[in-house]
Amino acid sequence: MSSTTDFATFYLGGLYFGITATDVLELNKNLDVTRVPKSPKTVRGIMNLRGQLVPAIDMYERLGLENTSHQQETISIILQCEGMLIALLVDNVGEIIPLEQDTFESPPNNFPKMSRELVLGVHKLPEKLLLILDPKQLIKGIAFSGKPALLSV
Amino acid sequence: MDNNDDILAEFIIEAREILDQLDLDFVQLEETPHDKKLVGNIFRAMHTLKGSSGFFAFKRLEKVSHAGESLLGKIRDGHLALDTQKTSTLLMALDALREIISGIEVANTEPAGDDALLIADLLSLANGGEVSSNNNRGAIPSPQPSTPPLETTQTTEDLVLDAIESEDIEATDEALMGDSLVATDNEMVVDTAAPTGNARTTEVAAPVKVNLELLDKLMNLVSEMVLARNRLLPFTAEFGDHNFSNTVRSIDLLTLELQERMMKTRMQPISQVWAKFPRLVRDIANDCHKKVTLIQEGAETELDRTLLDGIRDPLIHIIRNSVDHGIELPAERLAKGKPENGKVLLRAIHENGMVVIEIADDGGGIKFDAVRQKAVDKKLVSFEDAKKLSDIQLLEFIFLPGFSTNQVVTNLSGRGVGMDVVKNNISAIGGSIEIDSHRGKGTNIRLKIPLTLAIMPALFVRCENERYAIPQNSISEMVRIDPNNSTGLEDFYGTPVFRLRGKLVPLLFLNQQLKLSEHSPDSTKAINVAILQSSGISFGLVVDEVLNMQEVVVKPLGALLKGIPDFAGATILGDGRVALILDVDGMAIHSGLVAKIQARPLNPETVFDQVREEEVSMLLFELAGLERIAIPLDNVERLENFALSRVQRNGSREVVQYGDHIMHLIRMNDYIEGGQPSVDSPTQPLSVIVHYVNQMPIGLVVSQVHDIIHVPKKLQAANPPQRGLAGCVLMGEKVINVVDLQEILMMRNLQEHQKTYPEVIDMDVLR
Repeated sequence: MSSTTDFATFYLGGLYFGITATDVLELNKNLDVTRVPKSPKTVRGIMNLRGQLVPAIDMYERLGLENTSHQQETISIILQCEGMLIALLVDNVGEIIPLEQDTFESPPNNFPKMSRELVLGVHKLPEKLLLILDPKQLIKGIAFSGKPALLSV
Repeated sequence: MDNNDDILAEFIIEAREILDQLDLDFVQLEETPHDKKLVGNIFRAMHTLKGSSGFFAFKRLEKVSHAGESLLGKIRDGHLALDTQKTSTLLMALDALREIISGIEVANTEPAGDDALLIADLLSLANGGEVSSNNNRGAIPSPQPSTPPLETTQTTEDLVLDAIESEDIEATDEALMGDSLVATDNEMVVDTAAPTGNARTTEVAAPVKVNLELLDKLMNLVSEMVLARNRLLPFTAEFGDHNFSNTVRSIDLLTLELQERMMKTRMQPISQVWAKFPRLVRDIANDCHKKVTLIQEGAETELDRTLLDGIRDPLIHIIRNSVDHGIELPAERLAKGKPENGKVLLRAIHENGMVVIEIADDGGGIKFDAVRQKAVDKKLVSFEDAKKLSDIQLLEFIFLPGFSTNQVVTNLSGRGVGMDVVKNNISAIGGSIEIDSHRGKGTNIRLKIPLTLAIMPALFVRCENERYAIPQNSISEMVRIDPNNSTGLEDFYGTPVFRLRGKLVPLLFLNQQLKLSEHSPDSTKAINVAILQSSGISFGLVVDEVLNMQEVVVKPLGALLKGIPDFAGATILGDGRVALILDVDGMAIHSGLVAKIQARPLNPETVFDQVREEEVSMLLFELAGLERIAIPLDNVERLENFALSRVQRNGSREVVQYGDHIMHLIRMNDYIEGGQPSVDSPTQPLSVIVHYVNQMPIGLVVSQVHDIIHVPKKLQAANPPQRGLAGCVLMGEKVINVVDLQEILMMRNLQEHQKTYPEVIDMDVLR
């Protein structure tokens, strides 16, 4: 009881992911994404969330997964992290599930190195694995190097 | 909320204001040392500060302000005269007070510190002595015979305490009752200048201090409200319900007013930033032993608060340059036949919906030879080419990123130090900078700043099926290049260029710049080009399609995307989609275009020179009965075509709906001597030149717009004067008449009241 955490879950390329539910603000379906030329590949563009600009993260790119589904519909999970809003574009969302700490394990060694940095650990559920993502790491890898030094003040 | 905390917060704010005012007053006082009223004001302000410090039991504040007050009292009573040394010591006292106040703000109690030396100086001066310490910045040894400090057996500390106890218990009480900074029974702020007594009744309408964050939130909400209104408007046509339409219309009007009022709350006078400059100039001038007078004009000009923050550092930088490097030493000035006192002029004016801030000095001007040398050293030009560069061309180098380094400061101590940083800061808030300098005569720097950052007019263009916004202030014109009747695109050392009125304009292709696609436009088809100004160059941006002009609310892209130099931000369109706003400066610099053009100028600069010195751009057009009429381009905001069906009548006036405004139309041919009544053809749209008066559009109807021409600035007066014309200029063999827009607008206004045009215009009536 003491260490139960709620996780918002979603599906992407056949894998099952979870994020601490308290980080998630809301879910949206099919928001228009405006492409931002020259942006990192992982940022598919920006969206308008009731007057706020929110960068939309292409989770296939971010996790280094191959996009096999090519489905038209995208769902955005709006996260609040490090003082800003970001949207994760995913295929499908699952339920919010409460989980005890004791099913939690560190990421398996056979994970690709890149995704191992993003995954805090794994919850072994009866029928499948739930990969828990670290939102901070998700953002960290994207941020720009900034303008060339000459122009910075 | 703790009531005491509130009172303390008020105290800090008020104390800061007093200190800022004192800064100004002291510098003013140094110039007019016999201004009794001013001394009185300063004394009173210091006294108030002391009284309130006593109330909060801030001992350090109390002691320093008391010592300051003692000295001021002597000066006020005419026992002592103010000199540089006394002013400097008093200013040091202000700095100490400021530091203590900052400490109190952080910790709610006074920071530890020892002011004994300062207090000793103040008291010694008050007693007709000299300062004992030599930490007195900017102090010039007094030429008058110095009296030794009064013999005293007391320590400074004792002296102060005694003084406080003996004279001023009464004054402290009085301060608490009347002059106090804060009212203790409620949270109202008592105006320190107001007389005691029934001041309270008038305070109900006193300004309210509002949290800035809250204001920003409100501003954001209003901006969204405007956009939501835009989405609502089309529904009225769809439903055709009268009641619904009326409701929407009132929402429309209310939103507009809300937006305007909201913008006003963010406007603050530029004097807020300037207030610190007299002190700054004085300190720098003292440091480098120069005599400089700062002249301020237009301090009441209002600017958006966020912009005020943005111009503070650039202005300080420029002013410091002016005093430090621009103004010569007094002896040097005298030798050159200039007055010993150098002048720095700070002027703010409204111009075409922008605020122009001018910083001019009458110093030695930019050290052009040093700039030339530096350009050669940095391998920006060859030695031979550098010799040919004119002064004006050399000025452009100053803004190049990294052009000035620390070495420039020490070795050359030329001006233009870090001007690229200034330029970047100004660009970041949507402004631009121009510099003009003449050897031995001085330098004039003009900053053009938009009135507000949050909302700006932008032109929408399409490129690869996506819409982009270009800030209107960087667009000079739109051109369509048709390969059939022009020379088309050419190549200039690898840069695509085209000819615009005989001058080469380099081109940038938006699709390639944004790495959307590689292809260049089909050379047999016409292309759309926006001519943009940036970083001292003019270039053409090739886009697929030119869409509409619209006011946009600028939003930052956020931390994840802000590193892309091509974008200044984004905006949300009426349909809810996001459109990116192009950063014209960023594109020009990062495409390498600026560097290329700087290295190899496209057009012979003599032409450029003339335009700067003597020529003026005008728009050439035609009226019924008059073939060649021109209007200065400064008076032209936009060109529009309106179908005749859009023109509506409002009483005797013709109007069209134009954006959020009703635009009145003026038939130019009715007002100009020799004009004939025009006959509108129902199929031909009306050509309209849009001119703004007090931010309201006015449409000048003409028969046909021809071209932009460059003509001599000096007009030849028509003799006898002709109605509606200011004079004429010669272009080649042809005479071109230039309209007198002011007169036409006046005639127009007079017609409101009188049906006929009067013989003589009484200028006073018009004011």
